[in-house]
Amino acid sequence: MPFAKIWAPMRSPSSKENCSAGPLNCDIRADYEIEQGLEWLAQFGDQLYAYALQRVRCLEVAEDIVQETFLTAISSAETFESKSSPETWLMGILRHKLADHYRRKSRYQSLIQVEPDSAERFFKQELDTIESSHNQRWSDPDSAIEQAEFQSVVTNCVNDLPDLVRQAFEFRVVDRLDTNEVCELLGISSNNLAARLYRARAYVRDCLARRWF
Amino acid sequence: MVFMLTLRCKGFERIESRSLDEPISWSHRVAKFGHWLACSRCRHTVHQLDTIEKVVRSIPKSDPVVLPEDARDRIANRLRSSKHDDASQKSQND
Repeated sequence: MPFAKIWAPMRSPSSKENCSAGPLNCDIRADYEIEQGLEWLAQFGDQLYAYALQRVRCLEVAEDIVQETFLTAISSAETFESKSSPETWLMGILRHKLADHYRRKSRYQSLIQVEPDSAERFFKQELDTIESSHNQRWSDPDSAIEQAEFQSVVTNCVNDLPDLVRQAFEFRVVDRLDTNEVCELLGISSNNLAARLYRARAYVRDCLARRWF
Repeated sequence: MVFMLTLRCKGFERIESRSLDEPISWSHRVAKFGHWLACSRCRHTVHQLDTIEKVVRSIPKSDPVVLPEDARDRIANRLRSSKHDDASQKSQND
């Protein structure tokens, strides 16, 4: 029987309590948390990895983020309450890790790039094109085949969005997170989020006008 | 009141986008409705934005992605090592 199952019915005391009782208790506690983490890894590893990979599109980075998620999960396992499912809780941690990753990335890009990055270009230049898309029209897909093609064009258009805008759009529209939650994750104001979402939608509309007929 | 009468297409699009995410004020709703009645292009914009939302939400997940075995092993090993490091550090502190 796995160690976690033996310990599961008991509410595990905090690690401080345990460790103050002696190093042996501390080790038992650590074993318990590792078992718990491994169980979560077996159960939800694929799902978290798929989500991370879809967002960052890099195998190594996705793996790192999933690893960080599980490390955070086992180090704060005592704060997990059974009110939500472990899956929801782990997804919450993963989203925060993704937000950290985006923040690190944008900070790094601003350090190494003298040229404005894609996001800045998007805000400064491409917006002119977007404004002019007002007159452009695209027709709704009729058949099922057209629907599938349309979905693929929309997916490509969303993928083309600069990171700053895409992450907001995906959190809000694809994951259907509440706007407050997205603001908190990305560390931005509601006005900033509204501007990003407006630009994302304007870009996708413009993109469809160019790629769909 | 002036805002309700002077709303232009660009402003309409911003308000429409915002209304997809959160409730908008009464004055914005009235201004939006007034412009929507008067402007056929913006009626089309509403339809397009609505279509984009629906399509993006209905896009099926691509082929199921599986965490590769070697990556799973690496993560498992990292979990094991990290916790025992923490534990020994804590017991030393205590």
